Amino acid sequence: MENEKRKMIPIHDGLFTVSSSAPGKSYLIGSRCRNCQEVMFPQRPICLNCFGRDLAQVALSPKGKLFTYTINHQGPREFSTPYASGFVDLPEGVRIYSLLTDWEAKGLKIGSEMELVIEKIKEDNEGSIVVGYKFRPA
Amino acid sequence: MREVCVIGVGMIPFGRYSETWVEELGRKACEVAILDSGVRREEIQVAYCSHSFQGRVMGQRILKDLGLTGIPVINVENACAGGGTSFHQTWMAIAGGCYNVGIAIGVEKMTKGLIPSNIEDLDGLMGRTYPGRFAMMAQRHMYEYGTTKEQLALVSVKNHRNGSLNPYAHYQEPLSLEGVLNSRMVAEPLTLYQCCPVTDGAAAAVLCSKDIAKKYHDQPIEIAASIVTSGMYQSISKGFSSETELSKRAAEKAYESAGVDPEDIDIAELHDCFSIAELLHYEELGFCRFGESGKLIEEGTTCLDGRIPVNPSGGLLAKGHPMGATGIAQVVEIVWQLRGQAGKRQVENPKVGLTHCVGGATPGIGQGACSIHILKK
Repeated sequence: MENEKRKMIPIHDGLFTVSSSAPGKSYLIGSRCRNCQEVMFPQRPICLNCFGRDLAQVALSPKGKLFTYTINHQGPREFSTPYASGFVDLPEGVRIYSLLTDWEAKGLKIGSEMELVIEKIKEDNEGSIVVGYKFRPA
Repeated sequence: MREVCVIGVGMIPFGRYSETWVEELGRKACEVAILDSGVRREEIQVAYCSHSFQGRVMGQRILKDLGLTGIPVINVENACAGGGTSFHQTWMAIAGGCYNVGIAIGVEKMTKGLIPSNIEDLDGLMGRTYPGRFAMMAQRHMYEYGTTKEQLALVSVKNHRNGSLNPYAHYQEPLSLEGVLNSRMVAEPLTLYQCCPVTDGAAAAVLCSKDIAKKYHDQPIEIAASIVTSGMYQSISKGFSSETELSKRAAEKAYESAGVDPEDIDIAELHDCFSIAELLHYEELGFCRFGESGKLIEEGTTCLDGRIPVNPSGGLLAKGHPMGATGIAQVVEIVWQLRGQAGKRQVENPKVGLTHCVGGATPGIGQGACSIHILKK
């Protein structure tokens, strides 16, 4: 119950949206350049590929493939070990660093299907819950 | 552009200096380098000093204790490639004709534990550590090429063996393959002894234009290539991961600039912050084909008596990695090797040596900076 009283804050603004009415409909927010069609994450004011300034906000696919990963046995103080992290390739052509979760049962395998979840990353100094994106085996 | 030589080098034995001020570490390295070069203190016209965590005007704080004052001093920050960058800047100032004699300094006192990520680095906020990052590269290399845990660990075994022959190395004890593999797990598959230690240190090099070099030193070492560049944005559809692209691109520029091929390199000091890093760099620098680095270490090609000895000093893994000092310390080792002054770890008559640093993890471009130098006797 204590958790419910705690303040929830996103790890950074503009990274993702959460749908409370339809769980599983959360997605990461990227940018697509209207000039060269390059897709980027996080959102950008300027296209990294062509210097285009006309970018559209796009919802990125919540599914991707695991490019690589590790199990960390040492990490920053706020993280309890072991924890998993990896890079996930999205179909839009974006490779994203992410924490990985719920991997203990199925294990992690390069090339396997992963899906997005939005959940607690850590607690900050004031005890607020910092929320961010993670991927888990699909 | 004028040709430039290294005429003096110096470093302090790397280790832990918790009771010593960083100014003193830097001062000692500079003193040795200046005396080694044969220049008078008053002839040094410019200084570049690299560090990442030592506060403001580090170079001035070192040089004042040598009475080397009133000259332009530029402080350089470029993460793990900082030392290579201050060396490059000194080379550039002399090659461009602005100055005739300069000193490149690198110094760092590290704090214990993991190197922190930049505060506004999103990946860092979400638990990406440096060992974790390289562990992910290792996992991918194992997946793509069948590289083994043993091959990774052999890098550390080799470098600690070299370090045991180097009185300047932080760790001077050889390690067995089992010892490396059975040490504490940091980020799978990298164990503790496959991660560079937390080390303090300082190194310096005196450079001058080639036309006056012989006046000061009878064995000037020529700088045949000096390259600094940064990571490039690449969407994944464009092939190489940005990690590999940076060192490969820098190396190609260096070889072209020096007019040599990878086969011409007799000896190299590479950025082995983790065991996997050294294997990746063999491939990026063209010492072997992509995917064949595991075989290269296994066959002993990069050992002291191999075809191309790599990290004769013990590298970052055994000598240590005081961030701003590393790039200059690599130059110090190569200069000693080319002069035949490397003691028990001396490689047989090398003529062309290479140094390489890369670092400064940055989301979107992979690594922030890479420096490569090719030195010739």
